[in-house]
Amino acid sequence: MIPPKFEHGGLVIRTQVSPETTTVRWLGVSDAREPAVHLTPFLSSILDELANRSVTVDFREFEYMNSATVSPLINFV
Amino acid sequence: MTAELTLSVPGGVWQRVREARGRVAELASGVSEEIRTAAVMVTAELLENAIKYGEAVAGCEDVVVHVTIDPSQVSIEVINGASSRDQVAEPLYISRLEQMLESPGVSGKLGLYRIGFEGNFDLSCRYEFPVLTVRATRVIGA
Repeated sequence: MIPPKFEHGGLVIRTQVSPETTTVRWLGVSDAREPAVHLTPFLSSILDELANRSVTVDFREFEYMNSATVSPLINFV
Repeated sequence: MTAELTLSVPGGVWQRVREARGRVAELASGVSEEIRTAAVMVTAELLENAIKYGEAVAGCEDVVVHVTIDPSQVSIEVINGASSRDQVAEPLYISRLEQMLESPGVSGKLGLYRIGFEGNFDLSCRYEFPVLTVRATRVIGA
């Protein structure tokens, strides 16, 4: 079961599952000192559910991220 | 016209990074969105580094951020203490900064690369015991 929402600091990640695709929307800002501490467990937890499915990662409402966010993001993608 | 901003951020106060981003965005309201966005990012990356790796020293207890924007250039300077009290950590940090400034192939923290590649800023650093100054500059219109 994919959680519909992750929230930490100014970052929100919303997931929406449809028969055709799963959309993972990033919103707000990711500027925590160590974002991977919270992000990686969440992103890892949904990976199995996303396997063999069409996935859209939507950054259009993602306003800002620091460089510490790049690593967990790249690992997820 | 020149716009200037000086911020003093107590070491370890991570929440002030967000405030600094907002202040720089206001200061840079007269330049293009692309340069404003880059200046905000560069300020935050340098300030994050200073908070993570710097320390309070006599005469430089806080992290100090100077931002100057004039019609020809954006300059962002971040000053923090980096004493040699710890004979291992400080030389490693300085050495790492120098390596990353000189050798793009060196892997490690991404923030400084981001400043150069994504922000299109030039970086320089100066260490005058016990104070480290890192400066990012970008010529407007270049």
